[in-house]
Amino acid sequence: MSDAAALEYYQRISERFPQPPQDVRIAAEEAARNGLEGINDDVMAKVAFYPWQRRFWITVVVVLTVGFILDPVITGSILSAFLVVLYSLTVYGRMRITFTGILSDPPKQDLLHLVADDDLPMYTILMPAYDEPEVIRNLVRAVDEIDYPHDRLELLLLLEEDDHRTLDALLEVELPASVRVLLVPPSEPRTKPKACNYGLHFARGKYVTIYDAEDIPQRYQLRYAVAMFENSPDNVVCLQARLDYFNDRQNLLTRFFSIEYATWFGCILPGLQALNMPIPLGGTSNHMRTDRLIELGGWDPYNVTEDADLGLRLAQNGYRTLVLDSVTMEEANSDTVNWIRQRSRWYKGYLQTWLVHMRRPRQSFQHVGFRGVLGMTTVIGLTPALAAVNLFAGLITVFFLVGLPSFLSGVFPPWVVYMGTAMFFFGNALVIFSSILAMIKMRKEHLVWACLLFPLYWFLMAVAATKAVYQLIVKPSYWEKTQHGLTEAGE
Amino acid sequence: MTRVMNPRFLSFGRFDRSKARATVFILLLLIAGWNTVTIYVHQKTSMSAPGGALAAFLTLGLLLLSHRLPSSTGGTLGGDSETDWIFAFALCGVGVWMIYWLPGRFADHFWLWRPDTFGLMVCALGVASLLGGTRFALWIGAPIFVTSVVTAPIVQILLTGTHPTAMRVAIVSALLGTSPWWLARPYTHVRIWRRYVFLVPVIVVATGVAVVVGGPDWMISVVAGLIVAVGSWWVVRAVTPRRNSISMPNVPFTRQRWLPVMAIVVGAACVELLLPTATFTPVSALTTPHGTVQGHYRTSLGLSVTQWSLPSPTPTIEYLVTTITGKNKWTVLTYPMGTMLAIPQPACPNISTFHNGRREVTATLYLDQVYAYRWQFVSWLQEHRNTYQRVAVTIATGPVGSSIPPIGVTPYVGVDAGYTLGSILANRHLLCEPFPLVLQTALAMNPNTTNADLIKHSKVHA
Repeated sequence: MSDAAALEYYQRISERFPQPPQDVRIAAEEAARNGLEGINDDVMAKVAFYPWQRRFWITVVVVLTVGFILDPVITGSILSAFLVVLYSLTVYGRMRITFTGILSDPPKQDLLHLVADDDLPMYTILMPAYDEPEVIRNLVRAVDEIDYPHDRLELLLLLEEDDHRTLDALLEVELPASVRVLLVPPSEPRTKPKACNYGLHFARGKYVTIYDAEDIPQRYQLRYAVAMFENSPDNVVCLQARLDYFNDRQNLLTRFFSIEYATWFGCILPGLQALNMPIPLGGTSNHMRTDRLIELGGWDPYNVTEDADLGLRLAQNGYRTLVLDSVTMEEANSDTVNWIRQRSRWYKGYLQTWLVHMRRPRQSFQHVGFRGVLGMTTVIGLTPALAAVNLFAGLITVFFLVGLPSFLSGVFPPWVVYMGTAMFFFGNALVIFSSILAMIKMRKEHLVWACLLFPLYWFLMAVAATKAVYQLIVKPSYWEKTQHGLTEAGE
Repeated sequence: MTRVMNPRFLSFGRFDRSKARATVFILLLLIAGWNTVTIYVHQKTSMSAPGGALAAFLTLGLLLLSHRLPSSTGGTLGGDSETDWIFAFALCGVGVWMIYWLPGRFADHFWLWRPDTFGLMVCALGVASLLGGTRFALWIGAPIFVTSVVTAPIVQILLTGTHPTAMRVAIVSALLGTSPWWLARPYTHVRIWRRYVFLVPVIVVATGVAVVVGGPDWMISVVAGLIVAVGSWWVVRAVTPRRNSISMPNVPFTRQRWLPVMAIVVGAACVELLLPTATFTPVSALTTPHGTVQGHYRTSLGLSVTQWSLPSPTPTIEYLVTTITGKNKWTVLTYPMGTMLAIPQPACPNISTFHNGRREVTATLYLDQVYAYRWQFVSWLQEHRNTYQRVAVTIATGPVGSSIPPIGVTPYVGVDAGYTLGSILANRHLLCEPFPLVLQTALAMNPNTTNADLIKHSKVHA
């Protein structure tokens, strides 16, 4: 589209959906990209590796390469021993968090004192969307179903100015009065957090939350959030609602995804909360105090899991995140390749986030303590890292088991073989067992049988993690777009 | 993803570049896997039952081609190049490794399981993810896996037994032939079931007619297999155009990936050269051990199986010899003989393979730790005037004052298969070196083998 045609298109859209003055838009866009930098550029993922981190990882790669050239057996055995120990510690850490979560009892909705209608504050919902014309109708339905006074509800639909497919679809529907469409000026990076920052610039609510366009939040979720904020200490600035899937029976992949989400939101996050560890936020349905969010600089536009990053940044600044006992229904990704793309973005973002928050390790230890750094490393850093190693380790294991090559016998000294085998059987069985317990706790008994097939899912995770590591080096801020709206066709 | 309007495949009037590439690709895979394919064809033909395997491969080929069929609504999801590469790398790595290593690990059972065909299939799956995308590879993965399993000779032997009849062979051929497409399409589609209900009686009647009319077993088997293959295509054709086209778009062959595909094919071909070629050194005369015949029988495949016990210097050691003799070396090789040793509770089945000149010799050590019995086993194949003989020498030792359990005469095919898996899964980090006593016995029975060769090779490979 030529510039003139683009301008004409923009004018046509802005007639239907009025936009702020151009200078305000430009200022907001600039703040969306660089607002965080002005506050603390140390926490931006604009550069994936800090200089010392780059030097460290290059040294590791060089040492390993030289080691494999000079003495592959010694180097391989040291590396395999290190990985086995790391696996063992990670499984222990993760199980500790999961079982703490399973045994914990988070506050229930009925224990909260709901705030009277007259006392409800202004609430802003940010809803970023890109190239998703198919979910616009769902958006309208979802807004209608939210139980909150509409005069105190502001929904900012954040669309890219050149996203013509979604805009065309939008022209065909009648939007509720509380919905305001904001067109984000096109600029790099084209990420969801940048769009959210843009929306935050115009937000008028005391509290702000994010929903994806295809989300179906629980009807009273905003009321619960307000009630919980009002009954919590001031340092509680974020509430994370539980995410669940409405299409969990569509196919095996959606079942796996649902098991994972149920375990994550039902057990791991409550476990982190109970152990007083930093909570990485989920992609949507995280409710925040707007003023504190602005004070922190909003989201990192260069981080592809800006939610997880924000969760850790809140913890680093002494704020707390609690789990909100309310559910938002989403669409589980039902296509394998689409899932791998989405998951690779999440894993890349996790790695970005961990690297960002470990740029100054001493500060991190001071701010969140040893336990906090341990939790952050186990959940955020090692999850994708070990998933990436899994593909290679899995291949080597297959080679070792079926081929028994003599050089691998040297690489795996007996104690490593026994410990690795124990981890292989005991560790994996434990993870499957904890998933089954989580399904029982979350009243999802129909997914228990799928837990037994979870190793298939781990293979996909390993592929996604490998892709994430590759992209972290080659294109760290590239946003892998996930396609939504596959449920109907899939079923 | 744009909608691909390609109404029919195998319409040579519309033979486009993608089809040419697909054809070249399949030919290249055949060339790369020539050794595997040749041995496999010989082996299955010798078992008088090539139909099942042929039908299974044909069905798989048709499924592979079916990704060229048009989809009803057009694909909307894009592929992902990076994912394709990761899948291809992992699968080809495993596949090549299996081709290279598994023959050595399976030893005697290699001919029963043919793990190299499975490795070749895994390689093909990796290449498929490069050419057709990851979604295509995932879709075709289950049929490929099933084809690999059902085409293993052990499955044929398990289903038809060691005395197969023409009818059993024909039915098994039909069963094996249909198996790949069972996993390649949704079960819920009514049209599939209508066609299947029509197809089954046709296969049964056609097979019955073939048996009544008469003819060699292999011909009946091939006819049954072909009917199944064509029928399978008909059933597959009924549903593939209506598959979920949003997540399974038609993905044309990608031109820029031709070079890595060629590299994979050439790499696989190089690995293929390392496969056992079953070229055997002729000996002057077939060995006839002098001892007590413990059992003898002939199989319907024209094999003569005999077992002897040889004179022993001490009561705690028994020398046992099993020979399988026949005109077809592939039949001789394929005939299961692991359980003919009839070893009670083998606690440590370990296998080692070494080479005697161009001949591959297998050594197995079975150890019964409970009763302190030990069986050591060396086998080889030899040829004389177009007659082939597989010889297995077993040294059985037991505690002083006890009698050694007798060995069996006929194989237990199912148990044989189980032993193979057991030997692969158990005691992975140990390899048993053939004991000198076993080697000496083997040498004594085969005058053409030099002691130095045998011991040197055994050390290299142990």
